[in-house]
Amino acid sequence: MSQSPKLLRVFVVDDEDVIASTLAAILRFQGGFHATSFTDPVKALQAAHTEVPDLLITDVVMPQMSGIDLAIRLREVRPDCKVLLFSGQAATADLLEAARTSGHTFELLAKPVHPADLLASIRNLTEDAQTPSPQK
Amino acid sequence: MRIPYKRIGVIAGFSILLAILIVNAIVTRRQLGLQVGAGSWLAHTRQVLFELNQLELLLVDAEAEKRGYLYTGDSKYLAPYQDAISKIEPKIDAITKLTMDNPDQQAMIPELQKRVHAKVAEMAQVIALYQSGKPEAARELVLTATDLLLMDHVHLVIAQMENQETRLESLRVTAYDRAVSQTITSIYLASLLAFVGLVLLAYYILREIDLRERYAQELRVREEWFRVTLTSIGDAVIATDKEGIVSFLNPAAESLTEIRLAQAKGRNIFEVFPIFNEFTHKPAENPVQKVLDVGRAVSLANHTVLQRKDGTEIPIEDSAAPIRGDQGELLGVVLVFRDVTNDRKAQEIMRKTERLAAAARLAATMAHEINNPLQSVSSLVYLAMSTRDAPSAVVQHLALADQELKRVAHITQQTLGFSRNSQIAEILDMPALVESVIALYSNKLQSKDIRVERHFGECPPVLASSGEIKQVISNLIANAADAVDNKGTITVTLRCTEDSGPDNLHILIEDDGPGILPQHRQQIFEPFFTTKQEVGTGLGLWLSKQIVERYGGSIQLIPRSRGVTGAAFSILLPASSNHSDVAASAGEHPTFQPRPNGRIDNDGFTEKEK
Repeated sequence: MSQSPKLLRVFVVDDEDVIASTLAAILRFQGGFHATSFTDPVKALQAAHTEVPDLLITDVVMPQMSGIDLAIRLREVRPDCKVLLFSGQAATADLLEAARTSGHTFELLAKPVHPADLLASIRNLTEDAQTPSPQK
Repeated sequence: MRIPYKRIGVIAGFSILLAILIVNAIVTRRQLGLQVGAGSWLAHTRQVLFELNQLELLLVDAEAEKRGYLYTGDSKYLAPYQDAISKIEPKIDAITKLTMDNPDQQAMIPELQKRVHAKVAEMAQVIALYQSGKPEAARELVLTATDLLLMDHVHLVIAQMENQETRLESLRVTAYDRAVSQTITSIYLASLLAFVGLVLLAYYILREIDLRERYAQELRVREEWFRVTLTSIGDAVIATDKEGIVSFLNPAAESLTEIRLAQAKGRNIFEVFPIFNEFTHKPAENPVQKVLDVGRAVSLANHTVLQRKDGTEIPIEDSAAPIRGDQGELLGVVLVFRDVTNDRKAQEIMRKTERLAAAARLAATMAHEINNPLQSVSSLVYLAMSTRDAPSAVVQHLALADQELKRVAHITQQTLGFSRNSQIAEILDMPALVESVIALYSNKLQSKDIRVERHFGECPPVLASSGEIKQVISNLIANAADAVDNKGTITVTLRCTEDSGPDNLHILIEDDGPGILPQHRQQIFEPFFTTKQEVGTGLGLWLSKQIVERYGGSIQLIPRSRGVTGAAFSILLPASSNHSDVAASAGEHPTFQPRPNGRIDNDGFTEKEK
């Protein structure tokens, strides 16, 4: 994997701690990112005020706040933050569609996402950011 | 009810006319009798007058002959004289008889006799004197004026009697005229009544004929209407009489039973409409018979099949009802039925769809519940594998576990696909996509030593969700891999064929397995149809068809060329006409990058694109 010139800061949010913490560990050890895991999206949002995340990876359906709401509100604070949603529920498509009609579009990965694929997606996203795509 | 009433009316009309005519005949006859009576009295009177006149003439004749004899002495005058004298007495007798009815005249008769006798006696005396040679005495007797006087007396009496008769005559003429006018009046009156009666009756009858014609016309119109309605109706209709003998079949019934109306007419319903229980195959109770027995409408039992003329059977459904006359008497039975083959199919599809929906809901729930722990395990295994200094045996085991997890992930992904989340279309790199699917099945293909031939021609760009198209290709490759024997061959062809047109991508996936049995060919795209009872869900081809058709394409089973065994599936996907589609698609999702083609080089199945 290509090395980013700067250590990217990643927030991983999932109401299931095992998922959030293992993914954060993988991102730290395999991706070389500065990854932090949260089980409560509200806490992740609070943390975004003190830290500057480059990427948010979040579950969509969570009890406190939906991942889409989290992404929208986090972007209000950190407009440059990239977002990757991942969900195991079909209903997510409807939430995503609702968000899209109100002007917010996000990339969605389906659970279970293989860690290797996740790393590839992140790399793709961050490389795009560094060398803006003409297609965009 | 109305017709007998009218008939009575007509009969009554005729009877009244007949009565009028009879009364007329009687009255006329009586009138004629009166008239004839009056006429005969009149004739009688005239006879009396005539007879009186004759008597007078006879006397005058006799007088003239007597005088001729006296003047000439020629005895040739005596013969007519005697003749006249001899007729006088019978005349008087005749007058007496004729006037028997009239007392006044009868009263005059003795006077008449006396005067006539006196005159006759005077003439006889004169003649006798002359013959006895005393012509002077005879002439003298004549000249004594007795002669004239006696004659005048006779004239007087006869004049009196004539007067009497003339008076009677005038009376009788009046009576006769009255009788005649009465007769004429009665004839006119009766004729007038009969005429009026006839006119009324004729009017009534004509009106009835007119009404009946109009009624008949209405009946014809209604009959035509019923005939057209019954002929046009989609349901089959058979009518029978009260013995169960067929009298009518509409075209729908003709086509269902395969018996023409002309052949069915007059035959028993059991022959024309043989029905059986679908399962026991015993003859089912004929609804016509049942209606005849119970006298009210009945429905067919469920699971009834009609055996057609050619021996095939069709499931039918419907009812029979009695046809009743005005008085409620049973005239026959009408049987209405229809072919429920399509209904059955529709119900079957409905059941399948319901099963599918239920399965889809269950699968989605299950998949979701499994996805979270799967995510954890997947991450943990990955972490464990990445551990530094891990024993190589452990890493090998973990790699195997990782492979198996990918399979589970693949299954849950596919299952979630049933309750589709919207997928973002992109321009597909078809050869790479096909390769990624083949790579997924590499283990299986290798274990059966299956050869995969690739004929990748130039592909037009196709705008679709790669996940969905991968699912389609994956289903077909998996089926082909299951079907072929060891060392079999699977051929994948990608091209723009001329027959499919330049605007379509043609994907052909063939295998050299046993092929699909003819009886299964109609069903393979139906949900839950599977020949792999142990492992198949029966959803693969159905889902593939749904996906392909959603993109405006088609998927079908085609015969393999050159008599080769095996199955061949042909998929047509419409090519995106130009890249503006892509731009439009990308424009709607500004944060999405249309993925560079060929990026799905790893195991793309754990990755949902959107």
